[in-house]
Amino acid sequence: MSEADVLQKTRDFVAETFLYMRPGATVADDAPLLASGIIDSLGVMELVGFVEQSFGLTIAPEDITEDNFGSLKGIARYVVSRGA
Amino acid sequence: MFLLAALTRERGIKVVLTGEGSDEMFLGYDLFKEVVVRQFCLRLPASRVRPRLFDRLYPYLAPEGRAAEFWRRSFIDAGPLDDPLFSHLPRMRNATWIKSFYGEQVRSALSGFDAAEELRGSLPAAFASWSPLERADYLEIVTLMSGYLLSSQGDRVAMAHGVEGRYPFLDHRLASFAGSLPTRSRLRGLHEKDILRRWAAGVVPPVVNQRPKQPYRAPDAPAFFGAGRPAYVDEVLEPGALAQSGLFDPAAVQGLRRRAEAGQVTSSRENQALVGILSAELWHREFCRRPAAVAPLATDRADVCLVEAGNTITTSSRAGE
Repeated sequence: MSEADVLQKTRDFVAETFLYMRPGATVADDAPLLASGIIDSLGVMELVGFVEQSFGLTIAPEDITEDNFGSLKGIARYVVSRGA
Repeated sequence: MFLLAALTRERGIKVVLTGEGSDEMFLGYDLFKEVVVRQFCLRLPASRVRPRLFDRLYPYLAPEGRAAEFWRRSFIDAGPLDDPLFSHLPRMRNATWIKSFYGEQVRSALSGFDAAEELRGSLPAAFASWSPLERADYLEIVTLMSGYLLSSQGDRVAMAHGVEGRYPFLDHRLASFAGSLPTRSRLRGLHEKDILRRWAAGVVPPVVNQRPKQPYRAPDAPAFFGAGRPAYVDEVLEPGALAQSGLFDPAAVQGLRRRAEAGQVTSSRENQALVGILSAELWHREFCRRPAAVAPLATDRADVCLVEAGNTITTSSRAGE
């Protein structure tokens, strides 16, 4: 799967799960998801669950870092690097 | 409780002794165990084993395969022990989710208001000298029991059927006694209401006395969006109705409604937000939009009927005479 595909799927998931109460709101690919308040610490769990299910990965706790899960771009890069 | 009270009344029973207050006086709630486990985890934050105690406490809560991470984020990162509201921080965090649905007016009226800060400011002077469990107990009694449980889940639903509750655990002498006990007599390890159970050993059968505490969990969203849903759900959640009350942002609520219809509202915070929105809208409809729905009692021309020794005397009298 290409980085652009992962990005699009993840963007849709974030919009549906965390931003449905703000219709029309968009998230920049490099926006910090936690610091901007789009998702919180527990939201990260949902995000990790989504990535595992959608891209067929198993994610170790030490991989759940700001680099890998802090932004849409980070997630796309991580997923592609895992060879999904 | 509402249905139970109906059943009680059907059997001709008008007064019942109920156990309200026992979980507060004798530390029965899971919230208190949560405080113990969180403290235990915070003493050795790097431990990956300690948070597994939450598996025992809430076997139904964590996502499969990611429990340790879930516990850490839900409970251990929730806030520091020196915050007076330590015990209630995870719960408060869930509840604040509803803020994302506030309407414009409510949002601006409440800007700068911090409910947690107000609560911190209202605590008694001695609070700082209490143990974390005693603080949790105080907060539970003051914020939940008195204002909510005893009225909404006790007195109102029982009295709706004319059943009067009497609450032995709220006897002030028992409350003082329970408060004077060391917390370990009440919550021994993770064994709740320990001293009460030991006292009751010869009074109630073992099947009752040794029964583990089972919180009742309301189905929340499915109750309002499954089969047999009440008609008012769609009435109050219509964008037009929401705009009229102005409490919540109609577009935001439609998002939540859509997720609830699709069975996607599964987290506590979304469930709480949904029930909070429904309750507030019903309240608004009952008391703000049609305030005359309940006609005031005519007190000035009450008919008084006196029956004495077989003679019926009917008289018209003004109230108070």
